[in-house]
Amino acid sequence: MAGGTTEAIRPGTARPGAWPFVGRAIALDRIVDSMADGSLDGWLVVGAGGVGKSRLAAETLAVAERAGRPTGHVVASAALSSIPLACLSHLLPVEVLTGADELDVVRVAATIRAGLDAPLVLHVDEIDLLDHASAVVLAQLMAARSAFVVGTARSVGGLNDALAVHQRSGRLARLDLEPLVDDDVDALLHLALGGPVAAPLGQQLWMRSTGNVLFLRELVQAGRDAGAITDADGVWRLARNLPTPAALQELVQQRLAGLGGDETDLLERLALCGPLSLTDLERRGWTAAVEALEAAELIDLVPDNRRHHVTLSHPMHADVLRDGMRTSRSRQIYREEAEVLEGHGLRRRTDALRAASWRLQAGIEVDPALLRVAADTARSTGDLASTARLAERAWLDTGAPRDGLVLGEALMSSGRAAEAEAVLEPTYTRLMDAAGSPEPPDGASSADAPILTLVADCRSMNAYWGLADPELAYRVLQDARAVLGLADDPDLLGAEAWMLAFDGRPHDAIALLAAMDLAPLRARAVTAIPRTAALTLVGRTHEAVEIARAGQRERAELGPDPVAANPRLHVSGEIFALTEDGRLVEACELALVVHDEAVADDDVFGMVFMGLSLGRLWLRRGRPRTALSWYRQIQPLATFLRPMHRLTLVGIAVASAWIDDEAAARRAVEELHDLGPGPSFLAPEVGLAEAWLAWVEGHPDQARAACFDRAAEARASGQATAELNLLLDAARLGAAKDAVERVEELAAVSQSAFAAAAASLVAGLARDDVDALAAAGAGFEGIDAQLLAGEAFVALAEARRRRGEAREATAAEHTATLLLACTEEARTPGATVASAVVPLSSREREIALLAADGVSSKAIAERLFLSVRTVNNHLGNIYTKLGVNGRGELGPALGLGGGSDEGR
Amino acid sequence: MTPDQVASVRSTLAAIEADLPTVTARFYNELFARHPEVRALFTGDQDALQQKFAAEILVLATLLDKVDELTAHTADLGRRHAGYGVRAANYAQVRDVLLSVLKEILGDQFGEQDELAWRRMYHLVATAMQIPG
Repeated sequence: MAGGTTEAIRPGTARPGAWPFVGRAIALDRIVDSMADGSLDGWLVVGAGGVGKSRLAAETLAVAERAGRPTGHVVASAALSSIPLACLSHLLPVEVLTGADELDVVRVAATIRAGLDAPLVLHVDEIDLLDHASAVVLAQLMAARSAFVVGTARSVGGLNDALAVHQRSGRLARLDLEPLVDDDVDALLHLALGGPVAAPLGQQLWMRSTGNVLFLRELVQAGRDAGAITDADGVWRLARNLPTPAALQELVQQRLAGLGGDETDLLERLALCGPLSLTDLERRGWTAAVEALEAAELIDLVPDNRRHHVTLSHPMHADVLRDGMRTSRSRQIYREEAEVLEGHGLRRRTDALRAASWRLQAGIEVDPALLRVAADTARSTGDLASTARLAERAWLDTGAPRDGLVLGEALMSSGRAAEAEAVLEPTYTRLMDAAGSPEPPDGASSADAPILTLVADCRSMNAYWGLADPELAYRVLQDARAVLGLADDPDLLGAEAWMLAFDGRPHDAIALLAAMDLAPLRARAVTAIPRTAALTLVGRTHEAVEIARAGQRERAELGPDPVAANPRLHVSGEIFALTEDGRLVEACELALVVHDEAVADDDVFGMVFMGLSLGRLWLRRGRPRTALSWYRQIQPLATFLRPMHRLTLVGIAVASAWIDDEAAARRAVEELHDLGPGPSFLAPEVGLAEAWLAWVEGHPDQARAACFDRAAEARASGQATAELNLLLDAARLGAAKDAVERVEELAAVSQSAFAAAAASLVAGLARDDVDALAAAGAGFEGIDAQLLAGEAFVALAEARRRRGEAREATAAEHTATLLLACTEEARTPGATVASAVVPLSSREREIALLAADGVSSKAIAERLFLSVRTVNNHLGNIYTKLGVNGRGELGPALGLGGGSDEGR
Repeated sequence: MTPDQVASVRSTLAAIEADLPTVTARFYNELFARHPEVRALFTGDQDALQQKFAAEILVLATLLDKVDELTAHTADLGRRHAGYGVRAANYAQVRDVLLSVLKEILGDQFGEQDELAWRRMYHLVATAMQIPG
């Protein structure tokens, strides 16, 4: 190690030995202009190693500093990315780093902002290697216009989502930095060497460097060292051939190989752990090495607040050094540098983060408390992979149940169910043993009761949803209750009831909950969702709506709670209950509002639940295309939630069949079958998909059989609403007589307006009962289920006609046509109106001609001083009389030649 | 630049030295015709401007092999141009006009190698003028 001189090194203001900045003036102008006028939040400067990206960023910062803006430099790396926020740590204000709780990224970003008097201009080296939490903080700072970021990277293929989203918004622009052109290389050599350059030398340097600035510099350096490039009479010439390494890396290797031991040692430390504090390096006796490397133009001294940092002049050098290092050597450096930092007593938590990331790289133990903070920080940003990695380290070191829980939960949420079980099983067993024995073993005690509840909850969820092993899930919860002596623990009972309800055993769920003492607020709040779901499934839909609403109030009253569900899930329950209760419009309005909230919060669960609810609601209201657009929107998200994925595919199959898209219906059903067995909410409703596909494929018998088979399944498990839905569709597909008896039984005990109308329709179809059909039509129309109402009126018209009641038949037909005009061309078997040729009245003709001409209903109403409703009534009559399906077919039907554009 | 290119620039200048006022007048006319928007950057007396331009070229040509003096000179020149609001993109506009005017006036005397030499000279000076600081 170098001898310890105490003489401080005085860094200059400009980078010593820097070559002039050439060929990037236009790029610099673009970046600086967008910084000055605020039109962008930053740039991604992308290009090959050595092309000049970092230099362009450094020059941008120099301009910003001259304009009085605060600046900062962040170096991302694979090593630092192992601990969330470690690479930003030097920017973090001390106050956010003193607490022991997680580093909440929103608070971190807000605190950085609060410390700024002008927007920060930040150079982020290797921005594609940023950890997720740091990327989120940067994105927040940019979104708040508190930071202008110049990120450099060799490629942005791995760019973090948070930044990629910002890039797509257009506020983070991309600049591809190409190698210099020949004019630039010529000017650069002239200025850097200090005189004209003879043609053969200039030619060789241009050809060999291919315009890569770093390559050019290394070539010149190597050529001068080898005496191949000489200055004679003020002109630079080639004395003999240049050294001939194949690539830049090789050239750098050769140069670094010529350094002394201390210099190499320091460079390697900077390559792995840089930037390092200049004061520290001086104190550690590196002064001579720093001076030598600075003279060799391999390192820079960068001012940073009141301190100075030493950094490698070029990232490419760090790459070459890292690539050439043995693992044992890099581990040694990481360990030593971590110990040096810790030797300072970790004045700042920022240092703790860096030290921890180096300790991880060195493969040595890390303070578990710090790992926990890091894991929680990663979890709070949704970075499950980092959470799992950090929690695993903590868990392996401590074996503490808390660490096992965080790890298990992260693995479960990442869909790694088997790995989650491998962690949760021993954690659970250890806690159970501890809780069951009078002398708690080391590290666990009866004070761990709440954590046992959490672990049991997590393990059972993983068993149920991830491992598809409901028996294990129930056993875990029941054993935990037994051992804890908490027969009526609301959390464990609630979790079990939830699973039973979702598993298609609503009566068991209800029985379990009935044994509970629901007097305490907490007991009601944490069981509201399973109570709502179970009651809805058995047809007690009124009660379910009331419980869901009370549950939301109770949940809000309860406040923050580690076990109780996300409040948005309570609303999902209410919407499901409202839907099955037949309050379709009310449910739609609520779902739309909550969906917007979920989008604003980036809440994927909320978006999936609301999208699914809206798809289901629009299908029931008879708008297959609108339903499809909701299902398609959530389809990519729903694949992460398998039980919800199934329901999405069912919806897509049914809606596609209704609009005669046989191929799409078949794809959805095939995908359903490919999913294989597994828990599924409303599992019997898979029969709806199978039935409507069979029908659209021309196999009505199979279609009806699918409905009855799955209805039997639903009956066996007590899922009354699903059974009713299946039997209703069996009747619509032509099997009313076989369905009617059971439908009437179900409707008799149901609280739902939808069930009542459904029973009327099935009875009317089965018995050719005009009163029942009229009641069904009115009932469905009353809840805005227009397709079903239309089908009821079509059936009514046919029944009337068979009885010779022509006038009543036509009236019913008109009503049907009006209703079916709003059903987005749904072609269910019951929705086909028999057309009759009837001459148009004079008013109808007037309206028909306007409509054929492309005039909207609203405009026609204004012209003729009618209400829009009246115009639409007339149009419905017109369509019926002419036997057309819409405006586009009016022209030809009226003898006007070509049709006009629909929907104009 | 190669030593040959430095010599080439100097010999071109020797050939047109007598006509330099005509060349610079032509240059500015052409520049303002092609890029009317840059006229705003060149305020003040036009005659003085042209004389100054001609004088600068003659001085710069003598400094091509004395880079320290060249950069001291261009640093000052660059600062003043930046002060007038000249941007990086303007340098390329000026280069193209200058080369085409020289070619037009000198005809066959301004061969490919001469053009390359001037192009390199211009680029060297423009680069030096734009070095930040």
